[in-house]
Amino acid sequence: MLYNSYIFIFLFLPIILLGFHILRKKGHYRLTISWLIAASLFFYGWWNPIYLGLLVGSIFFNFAFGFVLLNRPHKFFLTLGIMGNLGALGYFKYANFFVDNINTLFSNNIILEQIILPLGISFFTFQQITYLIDTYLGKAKEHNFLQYCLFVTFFPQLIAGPIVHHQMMAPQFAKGVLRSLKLENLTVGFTTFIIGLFKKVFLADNLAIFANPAFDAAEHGFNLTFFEAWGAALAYAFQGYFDFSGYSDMALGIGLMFGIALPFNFLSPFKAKNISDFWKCWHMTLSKFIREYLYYPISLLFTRYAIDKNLGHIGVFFLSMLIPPMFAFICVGLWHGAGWNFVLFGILHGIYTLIHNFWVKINNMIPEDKRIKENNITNIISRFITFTAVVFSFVLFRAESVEAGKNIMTSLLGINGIEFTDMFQVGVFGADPRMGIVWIISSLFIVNFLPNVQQFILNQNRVFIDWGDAMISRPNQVIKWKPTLYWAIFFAIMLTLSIISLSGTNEFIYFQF
Amino acid sequence: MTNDTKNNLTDSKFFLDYLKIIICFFFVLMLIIASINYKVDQEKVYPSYFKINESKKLSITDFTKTLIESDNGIVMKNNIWNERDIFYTLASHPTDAECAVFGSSAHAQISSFRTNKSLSKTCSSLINLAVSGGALEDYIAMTESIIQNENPPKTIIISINPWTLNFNRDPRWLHYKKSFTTMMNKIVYRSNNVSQNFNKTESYNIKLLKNLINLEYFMSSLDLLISKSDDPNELANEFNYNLGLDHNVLLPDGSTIHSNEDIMGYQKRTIDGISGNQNYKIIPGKWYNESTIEVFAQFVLYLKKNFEVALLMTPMHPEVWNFSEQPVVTAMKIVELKVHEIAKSLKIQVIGSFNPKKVNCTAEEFYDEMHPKDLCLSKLENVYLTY
Repeated sequence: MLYNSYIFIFLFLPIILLGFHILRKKGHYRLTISWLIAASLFFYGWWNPIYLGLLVGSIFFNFAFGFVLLNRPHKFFLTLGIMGNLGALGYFKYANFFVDNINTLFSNNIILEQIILPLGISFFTFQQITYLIDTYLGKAKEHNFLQYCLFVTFFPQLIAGPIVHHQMMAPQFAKGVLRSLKLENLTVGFTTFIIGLFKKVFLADNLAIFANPAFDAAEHGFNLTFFEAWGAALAYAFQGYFDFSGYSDMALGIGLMFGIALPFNFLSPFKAKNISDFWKCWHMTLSKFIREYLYYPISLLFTRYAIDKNLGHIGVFFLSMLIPPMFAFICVGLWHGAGWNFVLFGILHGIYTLIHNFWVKINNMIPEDKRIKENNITNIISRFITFTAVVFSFVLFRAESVEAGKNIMTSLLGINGIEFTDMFQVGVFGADPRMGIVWIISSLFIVNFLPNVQQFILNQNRVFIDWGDAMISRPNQVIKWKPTLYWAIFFAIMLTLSIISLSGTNEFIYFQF
Repeated sequence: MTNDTKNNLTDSKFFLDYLKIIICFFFVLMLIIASINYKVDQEKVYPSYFKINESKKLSITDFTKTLIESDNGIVMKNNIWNERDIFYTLASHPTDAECAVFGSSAHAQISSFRTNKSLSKTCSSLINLAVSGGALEDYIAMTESIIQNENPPKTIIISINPWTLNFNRDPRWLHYKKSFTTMMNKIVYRSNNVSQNFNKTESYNIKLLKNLINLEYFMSSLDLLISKSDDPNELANEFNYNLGLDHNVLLPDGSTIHSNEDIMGYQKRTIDGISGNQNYKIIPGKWYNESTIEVFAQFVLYLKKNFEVALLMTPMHPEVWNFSEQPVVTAMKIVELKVHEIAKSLKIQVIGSFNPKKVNCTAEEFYDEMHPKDLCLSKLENVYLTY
C-alpha cells in the first residue's frame, strides 16, 4: 500500500489510528501493540501476500538469534545470524545480477528464474542486523516478542525506512509511554505528513515529467544536448530528493500520530558544503548504519593490520584511507540496487570522499594563517561544487544501464558539444522545456532557502526526540510553524492540492531498494 | 490547578482547533472541487441526478439524426453528451452506409465524406464509430447497438491498435458496461472464464468518484467554466477541412475534423519518434493475451453470422519506427503478425499495416506519432489481404 493512495489516506490510516487510540485509552496495552502489528502486516501484505511469509520468517529467525545472543553473546552466533540475513538478502536481491555476470564472464548459460525483490527487504534486513549486533554488544537488552515484532514491522518505517535501532524504539513501545500520548503528537504528525505528501505528489511527480523522457531517450541511444542533460540531471536530483525525503517526512509524521518518534533521514543535503557533510544529511540512517557497522570496523581493522605489519606511510595510507571509504561506498551503491551503474555510483562517491579527505589533509598541513578560511564566498563555492558533483553522480543512480548513464554524462561534460541555438529538442526534456526550467529554479529555491521539516516544525516541539549525532545544527528561525489559523489554512490548501494530484502518482523511488 | 496543567490545557485547545480547521477547510475545498467537476463534467461521465438535464434540450437520438442528415456535419460547440453515448446511438441509426468502423482516436479521421476518401475500395460509404481510447471492450459493447439497427451496414471493420489484443488497457468502456456484459453473454461460450478478467478491474463508480477530485479534470473544468459559451451545437457550413473551424466538427459519417487550434498546434510540433505518447497502454512483454484472442475470435465469428468482417491497422509515424527498441515497435511487429494469423484462421480480410512504409505514408501525413491524416488513411488499402 502506498502512502500516496486514496485507500491509505482515507481508509487505512484513519481506521488504524482510531482503533489504536481507542485501545490505548482503554488501557489494553497488549491489544494496542497487537493492533499495530496486525495493521503493519496487512499494510505489507497488500502489495504481495506471498512475501509476508518471508517477513514473518525473518522476524522469528532474528528474534531466536537475539534470544541466543542475549544469553550467550558469542561471535559465532552473531556471525551465523548475520550470514542468515545476508543470505536471504543476497538471494532475493543479488542472485540474478550474480548469475548474469557469471554468464557474461564465462560465457555460461546458467538460467535462473527472475526473482521478484520483496518490498523493503533491504530495510528490514539491515534493521534486524543492527538488532543482532546491538544485542551482542549488550546495547539492546529488551527481549519482548510483541515489541520486537512491532520494532521490525511498524508500518511507517517498514518499506523504505528510516532504518531504526531497537534501543530507539523499544522504550517508546513501553506501556506508560503509549498511554501518555498527547494531542500535540497528532497535530505535529499530521502536519509533517502533509508536507511529505506534498513533496511527493506535487513536487517529485511533477519533476519526473521532465526527467523521465530525457533518461528514456538516453536509454534508447538518443544523444542529449548539453542543456537537456543538465536539465534532466537536475530534475532527477530534485525528484529523488523530494520523493525520498517526502516519504521520510510522511513516515515521521505517521509515526508521531501513533506517538512514536522516528529518526530523521534528511537534513537539507543540498546545502552540504562537502561530500562528507552530504552523506551526513542524505539518507542519514543508512549512512549511520554503514559508518558504524561497516566503515569504522573495517577502517580500524585495516589500520591495525598496516601498523602491525609495518607497512609504512604508503601502506597505512592505502589500507586506512583508500580502501575503507571505497569499500563502504561500493556497499552503499550495491545496497541501492544490483547493477553496475550502482557500483559505479558508489565508486564515484568513494572518489569524491578521497578527494575531500585529501583536501582536508592538505589544508591542515598549511600553516594556520595561510589556510583557506571559511567565509560566505568559500561557502557558496563549496556548496556549488558539492551540489554539482552529487547531481552528476545521480545520473548513474537513475540510468537504467551503464550505457545510458555514460551517454548522459558525456553530454553533461559537454563532450557532445554545447549548442546554444537548439538547447532543447522537442519533447526530450518534457513537452515544454520552459516549464521544466521553472520547476528546476523553484526546486533550487526550495532546497536552498526554505527550512527543512526539522527546522520548520519538529525542533520546536516536545514530540521531538534528539537522536544525538543525527542532529546537525542549521538554524533557520525565519519561518516557524505554530498551530495558528493561518498555518491551518495553509496546510489545508497543501493537503487539498496533494489529494487532487494523487490520481497520476507513481511509486516511491526507494521502494525498489 | 498548577501552571503546567493550565498550559497543557491551553496548548491542547490550540492543537485541537488547528486540527479542526485543517480538516474542515480541507473538506470544504474538496467539496467545491468535486461540485465544479460534477457540474461542468466535460466528458459527460456523471449521471444527472442533481443536474438540470441539459440533454432535454435535444435528445441524443435527435442529435444523431440531425448529424446524419446534415450536409457538412455539426460544429461541436457544446459537449452535451459523452462521446460513447453519441457513437452508441449512431450505431443503431439506420443509414445507407456500407461499412461501420470500430476504432480509437487514431481512426477518428477515417471518412467516406472527405475528398481523400478512406477505404473506398471496401466501402462506398461508411459510418465511423471510433471513440477515444477505443478498445475491444468498446467494440463489443457497440455491437449491441449495431444489431438493433434496422438497416445495418454490410461490413464491420475492426481497427486494431498495438494494445487491442488485451483487455483492461483502458477504463472508459466501463461507461457502457451493461451493453458489454450483454454482448459477452451472447458471443462467448465460456463466459465465466472471461469474466474473471474483469472482476479484477476497479469499479467504474469508484473511478468516477476519484475523478471528482482529480486535478487535471478540475483544471479543464475551470477552463471550460471560464471559456464556456452557451452557444448550442450548430450545423456546419462548407469549410476547408485542412484548416478546420473554431471547434471540432463531426462530419455526417461520424468522422472528426479537428479544430483549427488543434490543427495549428499539430503543425508546430516536431516529432522525434520517442518522446510522444506512442507507448501509451503498451506493457512490455504483454503484447497480447491468449484469452483475449479467444474472445476476439468468438466475437468475429459472431459478427460473421450477419456481417462481412475486416481487420484494419493504421500506421504510426515513420520516426517512431526509427527507434526500434521502444516497446511500441516490438508490439506493432508482434501484433501485426498475430492479426494476420487470426485473419487467416477466421478467413477474413486485413487492410493496412502499422508500418508506414508498407502503406506508403510519409512523415508529413501524420498529425503526431499515432494519428495519421486523411491522406495517409486514404492509402490504407495499399495493403489488402484476403484470406
